[in-house]
Amino acid sequence: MSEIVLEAVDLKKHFHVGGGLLRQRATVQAVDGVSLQVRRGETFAIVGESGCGKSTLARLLMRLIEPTSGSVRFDGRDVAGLTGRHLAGLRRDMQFVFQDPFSSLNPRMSVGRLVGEPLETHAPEMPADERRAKVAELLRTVGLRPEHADRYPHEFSGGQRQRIGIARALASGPRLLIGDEPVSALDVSVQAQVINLLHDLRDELGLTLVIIAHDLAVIRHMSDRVAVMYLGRIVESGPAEQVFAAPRHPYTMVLLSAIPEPYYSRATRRLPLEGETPSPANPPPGCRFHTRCPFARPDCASRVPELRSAGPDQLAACHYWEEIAAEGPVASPPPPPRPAPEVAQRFALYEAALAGAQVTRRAETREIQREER
Amino acid sequence: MAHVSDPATADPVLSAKPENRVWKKFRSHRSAMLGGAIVTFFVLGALLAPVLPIADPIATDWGAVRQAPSAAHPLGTDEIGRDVLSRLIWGAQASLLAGVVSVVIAVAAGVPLGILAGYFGGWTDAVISRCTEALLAAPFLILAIALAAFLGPSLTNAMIAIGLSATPIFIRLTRGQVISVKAEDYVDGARAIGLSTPRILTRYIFPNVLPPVLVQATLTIATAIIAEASLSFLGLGQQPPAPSWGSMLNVAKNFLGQAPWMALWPGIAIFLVVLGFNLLGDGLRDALDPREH
Repeated sequence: MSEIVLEAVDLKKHFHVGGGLLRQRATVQAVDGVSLQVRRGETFAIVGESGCGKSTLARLLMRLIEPTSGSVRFDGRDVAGLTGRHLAGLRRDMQFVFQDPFSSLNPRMSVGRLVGEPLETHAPEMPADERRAKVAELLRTVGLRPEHADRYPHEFSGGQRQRIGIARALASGPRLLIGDEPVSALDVSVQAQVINLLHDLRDELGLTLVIIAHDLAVIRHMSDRVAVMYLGRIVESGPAEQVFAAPRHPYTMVLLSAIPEPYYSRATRRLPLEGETPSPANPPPGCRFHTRCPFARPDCASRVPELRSAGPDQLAACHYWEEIAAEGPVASPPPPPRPAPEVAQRFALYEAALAGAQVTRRAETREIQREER
Repeated sequence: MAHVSDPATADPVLSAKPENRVWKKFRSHRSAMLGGAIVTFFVLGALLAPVLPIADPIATDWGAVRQAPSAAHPLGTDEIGRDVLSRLIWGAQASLLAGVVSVVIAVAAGVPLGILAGYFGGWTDAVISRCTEALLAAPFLILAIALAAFLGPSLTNAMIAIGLSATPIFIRLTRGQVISVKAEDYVDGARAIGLSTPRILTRYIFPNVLPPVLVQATLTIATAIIAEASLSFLGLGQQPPAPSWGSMLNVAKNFLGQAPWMALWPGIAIFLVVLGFNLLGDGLRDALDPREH
């Protein structure tokens, strides 16, 4: 097993909201006891629906906000106590790509200054012309042109801005990149470009990626391991392929069944998910998913499930995953419906045509024409 | 690298010229240039007052009291026969100083305090904001009068008093702006990069809270000129017989029927200067914003 770069241990972040003279203050448990381990060189994905605490978790990992309890370790060192030079070191080694490329770049700084700023901060002794050369190289790395350095963020499209954000994140030469929904604000066609860029950069620069997302298609495409979050907790984690092929937690099953399939024959049965996500200010007791779980049993409301082994390197926080799994693969496709006789006939003709000579193909055409008439 | 020919970069971004910088933009901003010209005109007038061929602004002429504009007195004379043109030009010194210096004081004190209160929040914010509210509870002019009376009657003290009275407005404005700017991702981004707090404040917060502060500052110049007039009227600003536009207006209001020119000229002067500063401020705001074209 490869080395662990980033580790979170029982991380919690509770926000106090509201409250006044006579009203009770509510506590939002945005992240509630998350533990995870990210290995060097892998792409680790954190998935979950809006409001499950993904972004809070990302900011905790970056130490942009302080945890209520628990710890984050980067390269075996607790990041909580870091100050001064050590904190600067952490900022150099660990970088962040934001969700919204429109608000994550200072509108009053040119691209060159934006990308050069981390260099200025972490390598103040670097001469200005060398820094400019480095900025040009970084812009080229992310697929922009060095001439773009004189322009301002508002002159670029969303995808280009995200590239600027990535160039800025790469400038200090980090070893770990955390992306908080790095592509969800972009058009689908641009999403693919940015995903591929991140993927290539990981391979070229030997980065470790932590990607926060709600889009399972994106995750499936790019990640090695995945953790699924629900209401501030991780409910399942494991190698991406395995989790996608054999989800153990009902929530993961529900999520996966919601991915549209491009082929009719592979379309799966949608698992119904009833109701709204409960408020994180007042999470349900026991298993937090029991209020919406299609497999919930009475004691799910009282007993809190712990993450436990559910396959090689796979963990799931469900009391009954074995029994649910034994009932049959819920998210896997139902047997493909038998095609109508006419369709079967056409397929047979088509296959014969592909295999056979031109004569047959002509025959097929005639046959089809006759059918159409 | 592999991504250079990416379609994401093949767009017209590069076709435009990049040298659209602050000065150039400011130059092409017509109303800003007009504002600049007006302000320059008055500043030059005020500076050149000693060398201009005009009458003594405090010499009285009992034979020419409240005379209408004529060849000898192009803008007329006041209630004790002093030349209005001459007093207007000399008065520009006091009025422009009162307007600009007191606003500079207010901005210099208010913006940093507002940034501290907005950015750090918590106790810092509580202390600064409660003090600001206490100051705002007293009407602007009453506060200025109290401070000026406390400091003693002189133009300098009047400017300090006006500046301090205008400070709470800038604290409030800046604080609100900082709170909204602080929520932007780029401030978190600056922290993620590892920038120090002073750098974040000067590079990220300050430039992004500046535009509304600039506009407010140009408006406050007008208020300050009027406030100086009121203080002069009470004997707390420019000391008579030295002229300021405000004191001229205050005297003139007693003779509106008999000698309207006495009020008209200083009124027009204040109007033009305020307009000039407003246009200048607008232009500056646009020129400093890279998003404006």
